[in-house]
Amino acid sequence: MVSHARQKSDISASYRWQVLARVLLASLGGFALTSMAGAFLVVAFEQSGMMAETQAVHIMTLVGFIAWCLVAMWVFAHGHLLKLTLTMFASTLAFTGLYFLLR
Amino acid sequence: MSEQGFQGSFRQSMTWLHTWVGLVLSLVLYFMFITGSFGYFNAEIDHWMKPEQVRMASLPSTQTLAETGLHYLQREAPDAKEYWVTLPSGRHSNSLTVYAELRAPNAAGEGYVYQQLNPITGELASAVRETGGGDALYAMHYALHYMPYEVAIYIVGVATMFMFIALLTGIVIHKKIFVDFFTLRFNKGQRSWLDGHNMSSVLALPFLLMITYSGLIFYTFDYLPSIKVLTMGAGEEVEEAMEAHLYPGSDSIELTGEKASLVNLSAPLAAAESRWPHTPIHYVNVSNPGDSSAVLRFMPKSSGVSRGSEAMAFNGVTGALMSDPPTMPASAVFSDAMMALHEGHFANIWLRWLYFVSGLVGAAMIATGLVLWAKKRRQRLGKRGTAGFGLVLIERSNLGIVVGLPLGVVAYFWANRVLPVDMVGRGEWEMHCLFLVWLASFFHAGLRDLACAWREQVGLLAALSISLPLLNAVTTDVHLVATLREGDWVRAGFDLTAIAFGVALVAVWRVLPGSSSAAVSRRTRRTLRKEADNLAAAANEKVNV
Amino acid sequence: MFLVGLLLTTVGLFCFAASQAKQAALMFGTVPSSSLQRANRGLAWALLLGSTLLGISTYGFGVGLVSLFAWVFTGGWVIALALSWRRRVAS
Repeated sequence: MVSHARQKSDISASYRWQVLARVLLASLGGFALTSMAGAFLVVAFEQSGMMAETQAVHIMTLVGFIAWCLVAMWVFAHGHLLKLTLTMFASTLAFTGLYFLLR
Repeated sequence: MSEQGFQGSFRQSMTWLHTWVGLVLSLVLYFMFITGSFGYFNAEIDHWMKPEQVRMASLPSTQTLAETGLHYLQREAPDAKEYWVTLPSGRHSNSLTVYAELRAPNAAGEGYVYQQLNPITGELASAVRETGGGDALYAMHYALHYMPYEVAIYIVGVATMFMFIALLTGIVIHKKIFVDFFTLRFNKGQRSWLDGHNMSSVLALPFLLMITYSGLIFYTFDYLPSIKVLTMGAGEEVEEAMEAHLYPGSDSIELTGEKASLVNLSAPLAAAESRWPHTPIHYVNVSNPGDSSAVLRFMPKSSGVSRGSEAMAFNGVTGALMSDPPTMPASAVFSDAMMALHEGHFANIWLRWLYFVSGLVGAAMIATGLVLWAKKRRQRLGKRGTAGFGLVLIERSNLGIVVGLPLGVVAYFWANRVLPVDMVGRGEWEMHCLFLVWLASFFHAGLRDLACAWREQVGLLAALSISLPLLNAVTTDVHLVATLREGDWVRAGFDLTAIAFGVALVAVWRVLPGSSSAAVSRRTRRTLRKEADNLAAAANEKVNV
Repeated sequence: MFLVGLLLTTVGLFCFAASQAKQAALMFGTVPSSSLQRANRGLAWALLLGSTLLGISTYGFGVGLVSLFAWVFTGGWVIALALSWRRRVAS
């Protein structure tokens, strides 16, 4: 028996996969992006002599909570899943690269 | 950002996200808001839940109190890193709190000693019934219950992140934030629920953003350790380096191993009191007690938005004044201020009430959001559709969440008065009562006709709340008449608040659908009467013509 | 002082509500002229600024700001409930 509740909400298999993919991107992807961007900025601040490492780490972690939330919102605001995934991977990789380069 | 989002437009996508992050962990969030709100009155609730506690008519001098606390610690915890004595003042005028951080776990396997002492005798404040009191209620909003602390704080952390996203998306999807500032329409069905949801979140928005973000800050490096680990690495030294950076002067001092007794308090205390003539000394701290490297510190109660108040440090053996610790870095001042805002220790009685009400309004925001979700689904379903499992589950559990938890809290207060005073494990059983009643509420909501179940549970909550002062009068001698006559406004305030809550709930109960006097039928009656008047007028006109 | 601040803020929010055509119509039965609305809005901001300064001068910056938010919260609810009562009487 097909429930009538399903009529409008269209809970198809692809929709479920979309949601799952975005939840993973927002949580794990968001965590990775925030962490790598934060780590890069800490190293950048430290190398440029602007602030001590401990100070930069504290600030970046405090900002990181907000950044992570914004990334999560962006993941759900973006229409194109594939483009989104690629952008996230690329930016995380870029920050990772910069982080290792500066360190 | 693309024009087309995940669910149509940007706003639609954000609405979708707002709905789901709000819904998924709403149980935990509602629990945190309710129990956390009661935390703003933890000492007051404690006083009510310990009816044997006598109010101190007059307290000994600051020096005597400090010595009483320190003597207890020297006797019970000779080998400790730190002593903390919190002197009675303001809301905590009945107890002298002592705390020692031990160097090695004691016989009970605990790394600390924590006690409330009778400020006059210096003995354990043991003549009161065993109860969780206000503190057990308050501690649940971050440590939950029936689970290890380490697990609980991460559940709470995830819920807090969800809350934060729900708030940010809520702001983004809001069209007319200033018009909605004052718009509250009753008796308009779903529209009223939306108004209530908007009102409760918009007006309390600064509070809600602060309480959510600062909640994360309490566990900064537990929740987001990665940036620290990537750059500084992990381990004890990293923790210590961070601690020393954020709270300079707090790093531990090397032990000399030489035994030495603590300096007489009178001269250092007099120096501290002349430095802060308007704020009484609130904390006494000794680092490395019993050692020749001991440091004695006095701290006044912080008058502003900060946790770490100023301190005056003395050599613990000679009593010589030491230099003030260096100031905290800006980011630490910020995070410290956020945590101070969260805890609200600085709040006077007016602000304290508003903190409490704001917290409850936050809970109301979650509750209205939940009901709104179910109403929308119902409406979309129309008359023809059969509700799916998900909708039925949420409709039913909404009642268990929204009304069930307050029922549990009232049951906790009832248990405090009803359970035998000398019962073994009494404190823990009070807590079991809370959760058993809460569980029962879910079963009741699941099995009974839903509209009836709402009326019955709200009615029961109102009845239990209003009768709480009566129960108090029957079981103790600190009933409302006595406390009012005595001027014990803390206990009287508790009873009066319970009555006020009960009366407000009766008003809610009266407008619940299905009640004989429900607003809907009142409206209908009014319309009918108007129509009858019109008909009569028309008939009159006809006759006149 | 706390109550003075609360009163000031509530009156400020009242002026603010009066500067909105929809709410003003409910309060007075007529929509005030646009210049009157503007005047109300100006007065509202002035009063809110006044209560901000009062809060900060009495309690210091941090606690003063917290007090201001508390006043806006309370005053906002008072006015919203009063308006919804007017709406009920009007209907």
